[in-house]
Amino acid sequence: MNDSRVAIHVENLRKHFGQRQVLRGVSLDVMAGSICGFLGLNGAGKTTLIRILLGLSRADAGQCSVGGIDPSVDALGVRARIGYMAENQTMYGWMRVGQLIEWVSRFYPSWDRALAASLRDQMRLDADEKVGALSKGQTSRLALLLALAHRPGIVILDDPTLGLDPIARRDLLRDVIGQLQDRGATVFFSSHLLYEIEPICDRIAILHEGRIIKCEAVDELRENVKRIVLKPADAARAPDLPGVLDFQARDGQWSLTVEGVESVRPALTSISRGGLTVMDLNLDEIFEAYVIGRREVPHA
Amino acid sequence: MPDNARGARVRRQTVWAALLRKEWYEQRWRFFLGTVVVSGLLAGLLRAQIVSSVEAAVLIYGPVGLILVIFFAAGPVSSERADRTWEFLVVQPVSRSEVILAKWAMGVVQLIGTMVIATLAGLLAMWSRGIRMMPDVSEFYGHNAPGAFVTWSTTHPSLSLCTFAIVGTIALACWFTPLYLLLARARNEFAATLGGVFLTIAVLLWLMVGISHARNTGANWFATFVTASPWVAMTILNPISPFLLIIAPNDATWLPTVLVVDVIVWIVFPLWYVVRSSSRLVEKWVGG
Repeated sequence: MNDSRVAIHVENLRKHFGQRQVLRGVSLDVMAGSICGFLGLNGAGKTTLIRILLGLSRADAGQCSVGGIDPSVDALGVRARIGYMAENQTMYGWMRVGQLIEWVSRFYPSWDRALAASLRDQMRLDADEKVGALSKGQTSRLALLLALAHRPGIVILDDPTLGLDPIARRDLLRDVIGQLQDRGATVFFSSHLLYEIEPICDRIAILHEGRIIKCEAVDELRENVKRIVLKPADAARAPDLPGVLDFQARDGQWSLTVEGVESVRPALTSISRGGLTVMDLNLDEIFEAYVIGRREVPHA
Repeated sequence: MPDNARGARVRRQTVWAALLRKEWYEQRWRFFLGTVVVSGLLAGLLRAQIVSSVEAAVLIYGPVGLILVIFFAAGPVSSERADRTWEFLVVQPVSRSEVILAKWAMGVVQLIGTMVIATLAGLLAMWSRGIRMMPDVSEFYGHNAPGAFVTWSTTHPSLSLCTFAIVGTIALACWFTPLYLLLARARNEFAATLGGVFLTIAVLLWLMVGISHARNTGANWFATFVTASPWVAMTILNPISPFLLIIAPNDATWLPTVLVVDVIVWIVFPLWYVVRSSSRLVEKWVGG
């Protein structure tokens, strides 16, 4: 926690709502200056974790710190230093865009008026328009502006493109990338769609059923997880292999998604007729394999 | 270090100004509507003289005031929760107790403002008529003689109305505070209003019990409170108990005590509990 290179530190965080265990011991470190994609299906606990990081709810057990501050001790300090943008953010519809920007600026000591004005121009927002009359895409761009205009060192984006049509989504992502690229801020970008964060992220953390099941650099993830297609010599006898994330058998052909290709290559080569086909996967397919893959290789 | 602390205080003032300004813009329609309706009712009653000035005051600062309290208390939190701006508000660097307090402050200011304007309108109506009105509240007493306050009111109608206004507004604020805090949990304004109506009826019934008890024990009922009669003790703990002014015994010296107890029990204590940083219960009650 004393390591200043760690921007967000989460250690063994647990949280339950009623009978449901939402977080079952989440541990995660996000390095300063990195862009970390935070993936999980809807309802996996992404928002719960982010709410704890913002000091909006308390964990049952475990520790976390954001920018060196424990949100359960100084929630206001955390919120003043980070930029946060929620999914489907609803803002005061009766305010005008300029009014809302001015109003939010009062909460942040480090608010940069010049930056806010230039962001407003770049994002093509009209200061006199009512917030309630903005399109969904414009609303999310405004929320992004509000999250960035106080020059936060850490930016937390909670599924910002949820509910946007494809064009608005691409528009917003372009703004996110454009704004974050040369700012040097740490970004924690939660999403349920991998392909949209793939181009910007250094690292990916996958949250599934209340645990971080994978936290790795994007390149390593791509390098490590591959699909292997082979024709087995004996389709009835499947070997028990480590690292299989997904297994499908169709027309006498096996398709396995495997973590750590090299470790299973000898075993698979020995049971196949005519060699192996190793295929690269995109991150979406990798994510799918982790969260909905059928792990057991069926015997007979 | 002192400079730092001063800077932090200035920051907090800016935040508070922003919160209050937003509340005013959002809630002012309630203030305008409430002021027009209550002022019109009080001025109309006093001008037309279909009831005595004491009865008009009891009606306005009593039932009408309670409706106004529900109107001001039900909206501020529940409406924000219903249209999901609450989530946008609490992720700013403000604490939930600050948000709750700012909304409470705006509600109380609006309540007091409405009552002050309504009282001024009532006084104008009274003076424009130019007749001193005889209060007639015999039904409150049955065979007993009217209390000192009512007798005094016959010779001092304007002062009587102002006394009602002050006592009534304090009593309404004492009910506004717990009601507002209880309704902060409601999901939408309809649920909040419904809850407000039920709770207010309960408190009114409670007051009725106190009134009937006071009537049965005669002129010295405050003395029975001092000797710890449970019903009267309950009545003095009723947020709207200052309305017992209308059946005050021969002297109303007990009134300041009731007002002070009321303000401490129903305003100071709940707000202190909200402000206390360790009040997890408030956080749980108000929610995210």
